Amino acid sequence: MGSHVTLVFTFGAGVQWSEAYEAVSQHNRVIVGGISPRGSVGAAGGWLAGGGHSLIAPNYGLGM
Amino acid sequence: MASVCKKKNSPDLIESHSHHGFVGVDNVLEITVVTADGDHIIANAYRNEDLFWALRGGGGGTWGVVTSVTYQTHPSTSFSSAFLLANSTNVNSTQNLLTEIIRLTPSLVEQGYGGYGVGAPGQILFFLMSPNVTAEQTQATFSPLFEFAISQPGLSVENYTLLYQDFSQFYELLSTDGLVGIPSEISSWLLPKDVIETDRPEELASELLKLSDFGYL
Repeated sequence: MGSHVTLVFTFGAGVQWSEAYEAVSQHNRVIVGGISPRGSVGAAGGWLAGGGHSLIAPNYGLGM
Repeated sequence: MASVCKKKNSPDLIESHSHHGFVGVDNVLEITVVTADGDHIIANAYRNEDLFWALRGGGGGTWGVVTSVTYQTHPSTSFSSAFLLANSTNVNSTQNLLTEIIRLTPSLVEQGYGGYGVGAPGQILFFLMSPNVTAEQTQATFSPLFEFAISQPGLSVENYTLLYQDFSQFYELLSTDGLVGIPSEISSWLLPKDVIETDRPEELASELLKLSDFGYL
């Protein structure tokens, strides 16, 4: 058990991955999330309920 | 937006497959959810821990209506990528190419590549990228595979390697067109390392190609 300071983002239901990625990148950060054309899948939803695979998950862990 | 978060190791529904210094990191830190009894509650590692655990991988539509999710972030970095598309009129060539991809896979995992791939007797396609390697290293890793694909009879091959300065540069290129929502039924396996590191990759390739279509991550 330990503690650390980290930069986090909270997305309300309805925020789409394209919006989430844009918001995070403006702060020079990257987030583990899903991929779809036009990014119109919700960031606070079923992707996570399925465990949250990302193409960067091998380095940053699954979404969960 | 900046926040102090105390973290602990919590059990996950399935073990994270990360392996580059972030093992066991949970990217989601908190979820707010309306449960069936109408309560709007916070679930995290300290409050409603059982629900927090279930929401992360337990399937959609089961536990309540999620109203927000809080994710941690990571420093921006470049990503080095490789793409291959091989359309095939020769199933033996498809199998030979898939065999070589399987042979290369343990090394790709070691180098931190992640991505998506699909396959069928008539087509092999993948896109992979890693934050841990240079463009030159990606070129060196994939060139032999690309050359092998081009050498096979009946394969029509497109391939490239590309360095993205950051994730959003990759994502903007991806987001230009395409459809969302495919009428597919999906099932999945987690293939253990020893299955991929087989000394008979041609047999694994043969079995995968017996499926109507397959994808890999």
